Amino acid sequence: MSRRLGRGAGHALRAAFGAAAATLAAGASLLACSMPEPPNRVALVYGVSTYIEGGSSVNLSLTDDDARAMGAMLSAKGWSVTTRVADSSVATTNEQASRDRIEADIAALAGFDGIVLFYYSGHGAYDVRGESAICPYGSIVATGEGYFFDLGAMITASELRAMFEAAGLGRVVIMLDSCNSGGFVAAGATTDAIPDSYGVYDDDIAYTWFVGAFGDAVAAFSYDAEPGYVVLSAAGSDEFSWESGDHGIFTRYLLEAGGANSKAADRDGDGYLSTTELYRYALLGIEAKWNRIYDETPTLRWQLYAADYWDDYLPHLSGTASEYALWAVGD
Amino acid sequence: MGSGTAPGAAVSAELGARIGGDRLAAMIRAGVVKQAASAYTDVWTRYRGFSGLSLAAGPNLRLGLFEFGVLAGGALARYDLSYSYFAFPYIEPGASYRAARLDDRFSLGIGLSLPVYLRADALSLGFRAVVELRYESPHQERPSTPSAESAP
Repeated sequence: MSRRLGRGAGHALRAAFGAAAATLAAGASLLACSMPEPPNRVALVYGVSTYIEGGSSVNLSLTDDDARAMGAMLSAKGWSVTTRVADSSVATTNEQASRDRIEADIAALAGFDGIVLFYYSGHGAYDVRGESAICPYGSIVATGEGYFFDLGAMITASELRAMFEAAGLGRVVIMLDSCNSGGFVAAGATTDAIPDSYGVYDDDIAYTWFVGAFGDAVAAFSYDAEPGYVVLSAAGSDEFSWESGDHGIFTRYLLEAGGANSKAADRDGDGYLSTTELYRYALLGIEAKWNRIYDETPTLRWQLYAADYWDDYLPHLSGTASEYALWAVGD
Repeated sequence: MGSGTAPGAAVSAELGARIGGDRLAAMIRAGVVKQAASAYTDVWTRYRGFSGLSLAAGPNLRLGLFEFGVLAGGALARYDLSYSYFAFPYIEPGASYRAARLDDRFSLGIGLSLPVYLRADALSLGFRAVVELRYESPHQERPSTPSAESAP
């Protein structure tokens, strides 16, 4: 600004260049330090390892362990947990993890005004009534020579959502450790840079440059978002999810974030783990360990030329504007 | 959560240009914004933090030591700790006051503005305390008539 400012108005071309640094709402960050008392929190936890009693190649090894460990962890974190596992040789026992049982459990929560966490570990499927689906007990049925898929006993993404809506539940966190589970994740008003199938022979994370997301982000602008449903999926809608060691890979990191590594997972250091922080912890873990298995273990690289190589994959997270605190760190 | 409210905090840094007349001009600004996650509500939900780029323009009116303006533009942002990108329009009326002159070209301004982020699934309203470092280019008078010395 010069002293000549008042002269020659309308006859001078001038430009004032400024650098502005701005802050907003002093004191607002202080409000963030005060954490309300824990709300009512209910968790429905399902693990299906036995689809066919008596042994079958379609059965899984660790999904029952996933569910039990997640149930125990959540219970220790203050959640009221119902854990249902299909790992028995008795069909009537395994039916506690069937579609009907899941639907009944959700319906029984009608009127609940807290946070509901739905966790599932088991098989997943794609293109079931045009969507990704989870495969509860009863959706893979033995035949004389093998098995067949009972699609009607599977639960698609929209059907699961409808179950919660029918019960009037609007604050729902869904965690799925299953193949194709990315189909349950709604991008909402965002564009997800992680492709539906990621890694090795598939697509890489999109948008090398930040502004590269502009076109897709503008196209995604919509008022059709689902603010109360936050979904964390182990894999993309076109990906497998894997298990190894003691647990599913994704679940292993969920458990770590609820246990010994909870402080490391608490990225903002506020003492509480949010859904986004949990997602980030699992994503970084899978990327650093599982997705580098061929880099770090050269003797396994031959598998890359085989049909059954272990795919890279990455978790997905809903594009909702809101997130939930799940538990206090270190409890 | 869609109808809920929660306080939050943000910080931004922008570079802008005011182009036009002494009194009425056009202002264009571009910058970076970082919005922290909001405070948690009673049901342990909060709005996620994000960071992004912004670009906006609008009219600016200077009256003495005061400036008044309205910016309208858009931002491209990404939610923290994720790969979810989103875009949104925003408007920001504001006013500032030239608080100090540092020399012939530089001055310091302070002001307040009211940014309104028109996000698809969340409406962000706020007030922003602004500190501006202003640079004024040399005055360039445009001769409107031939000077007496050059007249034949």
